[in-house]
Amino acid sequence: MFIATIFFDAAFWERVHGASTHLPIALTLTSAFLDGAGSIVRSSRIRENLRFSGYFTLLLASLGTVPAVISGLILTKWDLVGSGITSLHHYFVWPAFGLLIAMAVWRSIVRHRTSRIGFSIYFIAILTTALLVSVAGFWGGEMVLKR
Amino acid sequence: MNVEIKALIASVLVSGTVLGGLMTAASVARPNGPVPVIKPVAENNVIRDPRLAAGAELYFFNCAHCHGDEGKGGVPNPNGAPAELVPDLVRVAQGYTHEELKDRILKGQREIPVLDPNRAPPPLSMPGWRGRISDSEVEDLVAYLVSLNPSEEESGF
Repeated sequence: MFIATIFFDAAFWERVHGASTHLPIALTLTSAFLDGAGSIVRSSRIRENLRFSGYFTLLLASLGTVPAVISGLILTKWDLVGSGITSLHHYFVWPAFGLLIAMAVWRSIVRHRTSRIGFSIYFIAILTTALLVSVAGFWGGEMVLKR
Repeated sequence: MNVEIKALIASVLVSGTVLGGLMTAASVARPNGPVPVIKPVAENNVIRDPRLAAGAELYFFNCAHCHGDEGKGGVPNPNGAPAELVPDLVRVAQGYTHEELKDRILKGQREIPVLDPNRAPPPLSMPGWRGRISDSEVEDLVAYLVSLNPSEEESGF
């Protein structure tokens, strides 16, 4: 990790962070959409396929957060909060990151054995995460625009 | 125990471990923590003067992510002179007149002096704000920056 900061400059990590953050943002929103669609279709086969796709995209999103978080931490020199709109970005990033990992673990264990109540709570959580990720992305974009 | 409850406990543990690990790693990597705020801009962080409040808001949303909260600086800018940090603005009023500060904000500074010409140039530079903020907003911002200047008592004189 520390070698990475020696061999690559901050401009490099800024580009890596910009490139890597869009994947988990898009996948989290897609996962929420697929689960939402899976909740309203009547056909059990389509519902199962949509929910499996929702689970798969959630897993990819949580894996995609790893390079995004690492590049961000290198960029801020391990400052977890920062100042100004960087702090606003982080206030939304860390809860979203924690929720995303928690939900990926929860869903990997439960798989298809979800109760109606369990899935409803999960769905509220994924919608919350999608919102948090979107707001974090908005402040990240503001940071780039204002430099 | 219901599999959903077991999964919930596991997910909280894993998520907590990951976030806790990150906090620990950050505290090891940054042993000194964030730079302390030099001067609170007002009692209880509430700014009563509307001009200063407007300036503080402009500063927070446009400047603080590089120059630090309340102008304390400390944001890394590798290879940027003089200390590889975006400069703090706490004493900026001592080096610039009101008009010079306005000019600096509006024109910016794209070329940042480097410490080592053989290394990559600093990634951060000062953008010009002409056309992006109004004249009255520049005045508010300058008023706020001037207010950051420590009083004689605070600076030890």
